[in-house]
Amino acid sequence: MRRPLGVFELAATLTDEYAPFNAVGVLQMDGCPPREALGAALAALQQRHPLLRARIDKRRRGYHFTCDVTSPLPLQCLPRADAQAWRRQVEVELVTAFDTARGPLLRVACLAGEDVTQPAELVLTLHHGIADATSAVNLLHELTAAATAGVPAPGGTPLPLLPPAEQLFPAPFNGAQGRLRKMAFMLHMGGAEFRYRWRTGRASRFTPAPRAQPHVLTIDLPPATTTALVRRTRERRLTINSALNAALLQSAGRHLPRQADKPLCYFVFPNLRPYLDPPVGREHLGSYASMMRFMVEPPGKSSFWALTDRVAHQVDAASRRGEKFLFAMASPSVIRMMSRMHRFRMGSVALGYMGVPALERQYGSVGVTGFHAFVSNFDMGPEYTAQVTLLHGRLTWDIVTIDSEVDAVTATRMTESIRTILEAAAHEGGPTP
Amino acid sequence: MTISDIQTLVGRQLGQTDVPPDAHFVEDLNAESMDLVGIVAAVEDTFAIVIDEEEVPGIHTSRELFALAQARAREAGPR
Repeated sequence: MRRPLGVFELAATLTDEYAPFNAVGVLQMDGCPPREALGAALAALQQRHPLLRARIDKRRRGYHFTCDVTSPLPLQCLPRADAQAWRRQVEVELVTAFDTARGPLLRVACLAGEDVTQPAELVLTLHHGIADATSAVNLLHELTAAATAGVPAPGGTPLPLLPPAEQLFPAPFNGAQGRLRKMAFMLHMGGAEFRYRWRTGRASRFTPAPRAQPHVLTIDLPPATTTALVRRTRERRLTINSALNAALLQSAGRHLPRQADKPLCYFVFPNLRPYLDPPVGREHLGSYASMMRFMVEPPGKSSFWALTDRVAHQVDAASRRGEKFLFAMASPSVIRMMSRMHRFRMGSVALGYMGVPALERQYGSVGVTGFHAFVSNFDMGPEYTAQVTLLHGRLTWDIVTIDSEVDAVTATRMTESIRTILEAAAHEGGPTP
Repeated sequence: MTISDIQTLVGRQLGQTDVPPDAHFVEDLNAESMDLVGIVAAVEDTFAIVIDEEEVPGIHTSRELFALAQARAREAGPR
């Protein structure tokens, strides 16, 4: 099986050539499947999903997935030295590149003690070109379900290698029509980019730091605060995603030194799956996402709800204009240009709101106690990124910073500031109605 | 509360007059995230119920929303 990479898959691969671009999912469990069951489950999943047998062929005529990898998916079983061991593992996984020419493009680490009934973590790392958030979570679900079902593990029906996203775009965004729209959109983006550079000056430049190290942090909003924030946001007919982005932007505007009084660029990551023709279900491993980039005026001093409203309408208007498809089409050219120029940062912050991850509370004797998600970030930006999930009534923020751009004190200050902003927004005006 | 009430609220939010009960909000009716928030909020306001955020991903059609709203209304008891 072989096919050319789609636009977002290619953008992820070009980014990965600049610096490792990995997605990491962590499942926290009470109890742990035995090693042989995990190995059998991975073997079964590799037969089910073509992209788990993929490597990336780079030839003169472009990049292709070739699904002929026969080596097993790597599984490392590591001692769980303490409750924070998984964080250290994530920091390693984020900067450890895959050998894309050989594959496979997924690896798993299991952190557990000797007693399989004790807390443990599964750390799943994927090259971002083969999975978006939706299918990565589903893969973690399938892995845990298969590993807890015994040996041999049920792998499910083998799935076909689906076409790249752009072949499934709705009519106005594919073929010649799509290419024309993309050209017009890139001209429009060029103008916006010029205005951003003009207004931010040195703040949008960066010094390449190829050995930058990631640092991960987590914010856990308790159920009462989460519920109150959801109510306040819904009362205003705004999305949770926009409220989370507003908190991140406000915090960055206040605490990233170079951002003071400057406009700020941020990224959001629309899930294209339900908008494709035909829609692509989460069981199909693949990168069917897009990346949209926006600028806001200096956000540090805006009121939280005004900023939330601004973000919500900015993202909504662009989505309705079909820019989720146009951004995806433009992303390989943008990444190629930015990673070669080594001069301008793409943006400072990015947030992926994954919503409620499709995981069970219990897999056999293994209980799910938490879920975390992380994506590598870069010296060319974004250098402060967050993946946010809603599980068991709590909003969990998983944050990645890199030490070349955000020092530990600033990272902690920003993270605490996000928590304070969200708590104030959730509880303003008294108890939740 | 009837399924037709829900279809009317969905139609109003999406600017469509005919919303089949099993039409998928996103895949068939092209709804965006803000539309989904508007639909859920309108149902909550109209029927004085509360829908948990964790239940929202399971709502794809008017029929599913009707079933959930009915269950929440039953829990809330007679008004």
